[in-house]
Amino acid sequence: MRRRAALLALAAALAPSVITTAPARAAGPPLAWLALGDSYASGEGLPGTPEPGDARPDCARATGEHAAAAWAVSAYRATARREPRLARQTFVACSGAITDDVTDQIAEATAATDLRQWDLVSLSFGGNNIKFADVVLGCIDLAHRWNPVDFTPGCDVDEARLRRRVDMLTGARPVDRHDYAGSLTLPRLYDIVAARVRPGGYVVVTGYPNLVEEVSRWDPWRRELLGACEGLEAYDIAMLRSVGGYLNQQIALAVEAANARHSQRGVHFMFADLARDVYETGDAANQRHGLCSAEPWLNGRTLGALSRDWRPIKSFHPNQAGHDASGAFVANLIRDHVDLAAIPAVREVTPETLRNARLPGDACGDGFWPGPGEPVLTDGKLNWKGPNGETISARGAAVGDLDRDGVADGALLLFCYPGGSAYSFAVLVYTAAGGYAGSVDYANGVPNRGMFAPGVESVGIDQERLVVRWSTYAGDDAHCCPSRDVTSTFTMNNRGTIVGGPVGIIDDEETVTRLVRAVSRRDLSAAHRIATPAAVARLVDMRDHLGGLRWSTSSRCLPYSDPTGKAERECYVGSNGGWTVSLLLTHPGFGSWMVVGLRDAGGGM
Amino acid sequence: MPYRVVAAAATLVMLAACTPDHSASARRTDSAAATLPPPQPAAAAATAAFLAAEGQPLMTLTNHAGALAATPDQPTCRRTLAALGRGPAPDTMLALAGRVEDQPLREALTAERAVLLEVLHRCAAHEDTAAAAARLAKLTSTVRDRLATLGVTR
Repeated sequence: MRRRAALLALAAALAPSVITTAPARAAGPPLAWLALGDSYASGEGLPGTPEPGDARPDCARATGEHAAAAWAVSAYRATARREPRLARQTFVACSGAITDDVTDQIAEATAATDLRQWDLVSLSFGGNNIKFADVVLGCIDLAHRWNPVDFTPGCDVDEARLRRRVDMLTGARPVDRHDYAGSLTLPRLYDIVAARVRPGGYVVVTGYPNLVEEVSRWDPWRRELLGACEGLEAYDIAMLRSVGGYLNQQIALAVEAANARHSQRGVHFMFADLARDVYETGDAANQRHGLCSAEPWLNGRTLGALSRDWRPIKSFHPNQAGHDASGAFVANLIRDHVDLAAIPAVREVTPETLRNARLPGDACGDGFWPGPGEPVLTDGKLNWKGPNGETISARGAAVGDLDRDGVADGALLLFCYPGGSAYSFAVLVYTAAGGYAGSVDYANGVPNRGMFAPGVESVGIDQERLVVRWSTYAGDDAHCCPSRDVTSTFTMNNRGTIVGGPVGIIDDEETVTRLVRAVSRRDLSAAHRIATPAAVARLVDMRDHLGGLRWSTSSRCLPYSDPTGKAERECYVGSNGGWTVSLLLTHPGFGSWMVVGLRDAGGGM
Repeated sequence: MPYRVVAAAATLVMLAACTPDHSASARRTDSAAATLPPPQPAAAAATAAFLAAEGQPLMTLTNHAGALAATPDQPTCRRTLAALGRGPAPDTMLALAGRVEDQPLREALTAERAVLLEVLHRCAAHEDTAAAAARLAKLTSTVRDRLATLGVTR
């Protein structure tokens, strides 16, 4: 029975946590919080994370359900009490995580909730990339045999080396794989996270507390008689504090830069300086909470300490008081700086809303609608007729999730009749998060449009893809009767841009990896099936590291028609044998990279 | 190696501390301030019980630390290593020290273990052990004083 209970507890501890609050008084659609991060976010070191004696490493998640509550949980609860729209938190922070693990955490959150984007994201990352836990444990000499060669006094790594690791983390210095964990820099990490935040949303990035109080502030007995704190020698403390300060400073700068990059899209970044604003807020004894202060908010060595908890990694992590204070600080930061009510409402798109949609003035092309204002459909029709008999009406609609936020978006098939025998179709896309999102050029790149515009048969949304079925002319079709059936497929990238048609867009890390593998083995047909911008950025990052691909700036980009007309083209071409991957940089405001196509040396798609 | 620089600096400080320029009154002030806090009765009892049972290797360690601090030469280093090798490993000693309920003694034993390892390391590397041994002597004295305060018989 006890074993079964233990297994259940373990299963619960390993699972992502979705914490919900009842949005009983919520005015408007719910908001969602994603809690990412490493052990300082997961709650490592809090009681029950995991149970003492469980040697199996896990995420040590203190979600407040089966264990104590980490700061992100208490911050969520406090914020949700103030803002009833905040109804859900997905907690996937994991002890031991490095920046590179962020995609796994996001994938885990998506699998648990079906959400692809969130309104608030909290995270702490970077400490494990610079191997700070190993450094600290190395300082206290955990030799397991009486061999004096193993007894290296003090820390094994000096300050200059640790600062170099921080520079690798920020991208200021190339990664040395022998001295650093992972490869994803903070700027790239923040870009990946930003892509998962709805326009209007916020990302809160926390820094790390100083583990140990300044030696000059120690009790005299400790300073004079022992010269150590929790196994850490006094002469190492200044170094550890200096590196911690540098790490926090560099994280703060990276957050500031991320905010500048993404605020144009409405995604904001904030830095929560836990060291200065929570753990060491002044000179008074009750304002300082590092180890060997009067009131420490971190665990000391928990190597079989009074709790008989033998999990070493629990050492030097915040205790419940530290998490509570951090949670209150983050909640106040959100209260003071985030206008949750201003986060755009996510309203499910329904066939009804599409049939009564507000249309852009140029929905049927420039000059078609004379104004003033924008045309608005009423039950699928426009109560307007132009001097030449022009009309606009809906000919079809589809609803389904396009932007992967778990809420239905929609596509409206519009029939534009300018009078006479001509006509045209337009396919407009509306999203729950942002209303009208743009139109798609379903016929892009397809020849033989003839004197009549092609006829669109239907629009549909299937598995997060917009499918437009239309007809055009085969070689000798009469003008009356186009017989060639064509299907164009579109997706919405993480930046809310409609992409697709004859070319493909890569939209996730896994897909990039698959694409690179396909190209590397010259499997063009497989590569062609891979089409869908976060992963693309990684591909660009990777371009210098892809063994078989030689990348260069080139004018040989594949033909691509940008449906928004905002694209700035910057082409990179990587080749491997006969295969070529062409990259196109688009939408400067979004900084998004897209892989727009693949071709062999002959130039065919 | 930075710790060597620091250790050398510490040696200089210690040497300076022995010069007549340092007034006796200043040293008395430090010494007066550096008094361990009084023990909590419950912690004292629990500590005594632990050291008489599972924590017994810590008493052995502090005895060897005292001998090594007094004579930090090669033969003593070898004898200390051999004797300690028959007991719990260094990381286990650290864990045992972590279970001492009296906080000042817990920290003193932890620091004593670390400096004992440093003396043994310097000894094996044929480096100067004087500074580390002096610190070890101070820590050993602190541990013994605390044990006496707690009523732990050795």
